[in-house]
Amino acid sequence: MFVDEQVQNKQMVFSEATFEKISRIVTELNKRLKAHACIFADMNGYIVNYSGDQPEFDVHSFTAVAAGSFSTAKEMALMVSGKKHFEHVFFEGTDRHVYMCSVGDDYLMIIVFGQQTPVGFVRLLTHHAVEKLAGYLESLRRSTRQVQTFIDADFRRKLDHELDRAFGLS
Amino acid sequence: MHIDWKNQEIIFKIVYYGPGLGGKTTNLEYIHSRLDPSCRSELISFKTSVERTLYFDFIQIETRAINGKRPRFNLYTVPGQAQYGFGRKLVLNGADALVFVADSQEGRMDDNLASLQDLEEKLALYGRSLRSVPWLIQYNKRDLPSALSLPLLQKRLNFFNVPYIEAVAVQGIGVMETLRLVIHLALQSHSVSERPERMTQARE
Repeated sequence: MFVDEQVQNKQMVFSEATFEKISRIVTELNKRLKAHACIFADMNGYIVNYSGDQPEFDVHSFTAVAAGSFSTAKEMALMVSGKKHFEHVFFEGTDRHVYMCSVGDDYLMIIVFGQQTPVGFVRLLTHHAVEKLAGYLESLRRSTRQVQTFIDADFRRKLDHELDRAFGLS
Repeated sequence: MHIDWKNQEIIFKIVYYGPGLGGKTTNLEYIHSRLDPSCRSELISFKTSVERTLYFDFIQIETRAINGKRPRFNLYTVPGQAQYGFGRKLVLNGADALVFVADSQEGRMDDNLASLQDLEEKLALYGRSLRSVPWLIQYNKRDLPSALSLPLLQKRLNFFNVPYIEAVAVQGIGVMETLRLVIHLALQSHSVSERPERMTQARE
């Protein structure tokens, strides 16, 4: 069981207490924006926290693609201005829009919202939430506590069994 | 590896690398067709007008929960064409394990080697290398008359003595076995006290 935070090779593992704090920020943001979804993810496209409607789309796949898109924008920023990344990226749709901004160097906030929410309002509130999160992540980054892991021989044996079943190899 | 606390999930990233037209996308397409929709997402592909991978292909697979945690595996391919190097670099970030899909044909050996060298260079950008990352080689297109013998392929490509599997991805031969083995390697690299073992024989 994971019990503490770990910061190693830029990868963080959050304790449940930390996760709850992040969760509160993301949920509050979503509530105030009346958004369809607020997703706090890492730059690799893994969801750290999600708040929103029962999704009509595959949130995991969406986040992986969104992170890829944000990384692409980052490279574009480097090419045109030499800057590390654009502050935010906005995709305007007919009825739903997507707003993304970085949280520090390693994380990303993604907001999916509708016509009733002005993009300026999204920018403003997201900016405040991101500031809180960034400060919090920075304090974690200084942490050196270790975690225990649950991936042991027993876990692997059971997973092998599950994979055989799912893949039809058994 | 990533832990999703909210949903009690463990997520791994696995990347299929290799030269263009080597069969990376075909691997994912077969996995998508083979698995029950309840344990996989839709296959997402970014393709050019001539059906070549532009950015990456993506599919997520999952199993039932184990000890209260549900494992998920994000599978990505990279674009094989030389001009999409930056896309390959981005997709490699944070990979837990890699599959190098080599084209077995004699005429593709230079492309295989160039892709391996490119992989080493891209890994170096993240402070990693082919010695430190768990990976395996899939020798694809074993059914073609121009395919080189296995001992010759091993000699020319498997410098690090990593695990390998022979495959004919268009027929699904070796595809699921490759996936199972690379997942095994990814898990080993995250185990408590066990380091990844060097495996020199492919799974039968």
